[in-house]
Amino acid sequence: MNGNVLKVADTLQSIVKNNSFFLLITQRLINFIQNTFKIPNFSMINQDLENYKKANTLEEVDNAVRFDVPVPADHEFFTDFSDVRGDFEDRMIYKHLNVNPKTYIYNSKVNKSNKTLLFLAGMRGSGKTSELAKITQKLNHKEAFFCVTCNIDELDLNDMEYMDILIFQIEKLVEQLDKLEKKRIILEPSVIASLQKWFTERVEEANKMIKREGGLELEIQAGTPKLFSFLSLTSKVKANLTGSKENAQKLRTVFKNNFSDFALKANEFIAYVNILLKNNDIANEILFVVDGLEKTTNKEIRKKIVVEESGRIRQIKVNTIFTLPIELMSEGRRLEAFSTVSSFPFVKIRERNGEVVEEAIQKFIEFTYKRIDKNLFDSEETVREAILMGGGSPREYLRVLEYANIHADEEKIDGEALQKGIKKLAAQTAQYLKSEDIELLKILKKNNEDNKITLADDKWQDLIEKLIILEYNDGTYKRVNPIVEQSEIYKQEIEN
Amino acid sequence: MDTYKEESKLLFKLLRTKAFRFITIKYNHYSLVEKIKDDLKEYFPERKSKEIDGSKTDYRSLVDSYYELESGFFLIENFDKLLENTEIYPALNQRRDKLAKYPIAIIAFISPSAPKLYAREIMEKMPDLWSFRSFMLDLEKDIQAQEKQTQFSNNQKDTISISSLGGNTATEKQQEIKRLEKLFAENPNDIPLKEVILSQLATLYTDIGEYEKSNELIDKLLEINTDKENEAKLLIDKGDNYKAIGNLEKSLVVFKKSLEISREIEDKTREGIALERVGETNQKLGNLQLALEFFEKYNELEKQLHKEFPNTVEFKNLLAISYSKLGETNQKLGNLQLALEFFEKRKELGEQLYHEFPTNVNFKNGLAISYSKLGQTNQKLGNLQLALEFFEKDLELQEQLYHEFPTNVNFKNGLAISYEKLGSYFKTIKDIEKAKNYYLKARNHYVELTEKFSNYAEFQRNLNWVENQLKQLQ
Repeated sequence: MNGNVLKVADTLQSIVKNNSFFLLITQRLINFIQNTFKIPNFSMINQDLENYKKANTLEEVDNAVRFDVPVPADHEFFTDFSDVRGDFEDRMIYKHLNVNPKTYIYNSKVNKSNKTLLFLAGMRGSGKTSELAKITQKLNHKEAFFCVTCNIDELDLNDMEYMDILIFQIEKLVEQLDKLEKKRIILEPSVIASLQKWFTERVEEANKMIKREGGLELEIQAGTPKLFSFLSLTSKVKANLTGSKENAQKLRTVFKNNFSDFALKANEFIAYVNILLKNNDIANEILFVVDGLEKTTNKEIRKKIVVEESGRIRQIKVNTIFTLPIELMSEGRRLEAFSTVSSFPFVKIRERNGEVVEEAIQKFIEFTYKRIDKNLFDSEETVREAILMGGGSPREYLRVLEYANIHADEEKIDGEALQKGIKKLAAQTAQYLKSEDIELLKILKKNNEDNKITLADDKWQDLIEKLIILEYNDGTYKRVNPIVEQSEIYKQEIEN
Repeated sequence: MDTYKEESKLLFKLLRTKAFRFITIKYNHYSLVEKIKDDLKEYFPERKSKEIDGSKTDYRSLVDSYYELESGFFLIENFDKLLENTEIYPALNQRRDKLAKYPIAIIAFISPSAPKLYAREIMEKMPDLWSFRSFMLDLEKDIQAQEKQTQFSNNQKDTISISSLGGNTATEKQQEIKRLEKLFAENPNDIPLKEVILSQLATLYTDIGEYEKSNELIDKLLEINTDKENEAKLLIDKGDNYKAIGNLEKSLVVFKKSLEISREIEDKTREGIALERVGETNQKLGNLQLALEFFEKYNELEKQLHKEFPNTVEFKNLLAISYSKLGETNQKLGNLQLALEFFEKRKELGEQLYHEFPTNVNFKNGLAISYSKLGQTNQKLGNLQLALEFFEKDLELQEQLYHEFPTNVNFKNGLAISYEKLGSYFKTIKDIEKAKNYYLKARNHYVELTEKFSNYAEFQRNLNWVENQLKQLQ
């Protein structure tokens, strides 16, 4: 039964993947199916990496260049780009977390009561998720952290607040602890009981509001104070936050009204778990990675969470890395008042003067041959050309390969197939261009020719978000997406 | 120590003769100014009087008002502020002889925020006028008693904040305290756990009315704290506890410290909170002029933050609260029309917030309170029908909040206050049955609250006050 449901849901998700209108409607349907049939979240389907293997034939290329699948650090496809991202160095992330970048050992004595809150800002497709997967893999051990990754596409992407994320974080933490508990740690029942009581009372409070308006109340049972029963309670709360909008709103209201208390309960649980993890040689502390904020359907939701709810975020005393949507980088100064903001740029494959960065090209070649057998290309020149067209974005590059493969003949991806693919992609991408954008692109081209920095203000932001312009280093170096440069409109208006 | 009776007796004796007088009155609570004004009217009903605010006037209007009066009482409030105005005090001093030709008693009120050596300052700045001085009064009143009296008279009551920690009754909260104390004893060396346990315990002790114990825990937290922002927050909590037990002087000290830290770390949000607390404490201490100054700074800051971050609703809400505070102080100063204007502004913002976020209970509660304030001010201005409309609007929202959150202590208390306000309103218009009815409803809520939180003095005081009102209506 669940298998069929999973297929339906997976199909739905792939249909709507790039269509925000359908996404809006189907997200609720997906949530409904998920809650009704009590199946694991759908991102698990995408994370099923068993069939995600190197392509040895052209038919297999399509699967090997899927760009909607984050690659964990231990996967055969994983390529470490951290040393070719211009000014970005992953060692900075480790340092911010008080981790030795060579030994990956966490210094828990430094700043013990002030936890690290780090925002990693990068453009879509820049490889943040893969980089974070690598970091958590390196840090998930007894001398560093108990890493809990929370991909928020499991929540309602159309209707979300920080409250939802925090409850989800707690659920994920409890879920991972529950897996451990049988073997490794035992939580004091009174700690769980107190937390469970507080949660139950809040749900009861929300139920009274729902009942008054004739809505369907949330079902909760007074379970014995065990991790498992608390897990089922948090799962239920989370499920209701992604279910009916009315109920979600009421639940949030209740939790928000009591946020200071909620923060204290969460902090007690986190601090207590940290002690157990340390005493049982599992880890020094918890590290949350909250990824996927850019997947929420609109900017307002993201801005509300990161900027307007920052006061709530900072009340939770736990080491956390949040990925920051690029459009919120402009809020960096406000965030820096209580956190660290680190820019995660694309791989710099060309200098501002146009010179190719060979080291970066070699990384992309490694990236390519891990996914597609070398013999499926007519020459390395074709691969290099495709890499340059990707502009240093792993995801954009995979898209170029996908289009080239579509145009390839039965045997190999050659230069001709690549050019056809690029032409097609360029025509599609140029459709986003408005006439006023052309002027900005002219300025950018001139600045780069003169080796000048182009500072971005709001008018540039839209082009950056749409990947018409790509950013490198700390954002001071920008280039037009090479695919856009191939479009007829660009050639006509700017090149000539 | 209450000096009013003794000192004022001498004053009224002196004023029996119609002649020029220059009298200074130093007071420690603004209610004493009101009392002097009322008593002057009572003892000398035939004499005219003119009131001037020394912090807002200019030389021309001051002397014109004086000459127009011809005879009677010329009351100058905030005389200490007038001494800062170099355009007024030298000119006034030079015209001593002309002023003295009129049978007018100049009564100069010196506010509690004036320097201790204010007399020396007058002597130095206005030596000629000072040489004509007739009398110096120093009026003092027991402020703690005044504060209690204000609470009893239900003139201005704060809403009470009780956390959701532990549960909804004092017994449940005491059980939670035991659990946390045990957990603390088992893990004495882990700083993050220690901090979060102490924070919860401090909140829980405040919840059950053990404010001194709560402050002991806050002191422990301050010892291990390394974060300035948290220090500013803890000091606010500590000051709130002092305020709850009526130790306003101590609460003022810690609120000021919190303000200093917030400014040092440039935390504008917390600076706003601290300004509000310092203003409120000064208001309770009767330093109304000083309170007004802090509330004006608070209002300016919130205006600036709201302008800078128009989409951050918290700033809009804080701006609304700052208008409410300006309204409260002006109401106490007797500037009812101005108070009304501030309360209107507060209501306007409150309605916008409520309509934008109908599920946000803080906004709803804030709007309800603004209706209540408008009700009170209109009642004082004699706009009784309008006052009733506002009290009913307040009640409607408070009832909704209570029904939405029947176990929430704050809303139960808020509803009881709304009943009280309506009870007092109907008592004023002599509709005894309705007054009784509302007082009884308020009483029932307070009985329940005192049973659940027997240590919480506020509930017991409110219950006593309502019962007293009911007795008077018998």
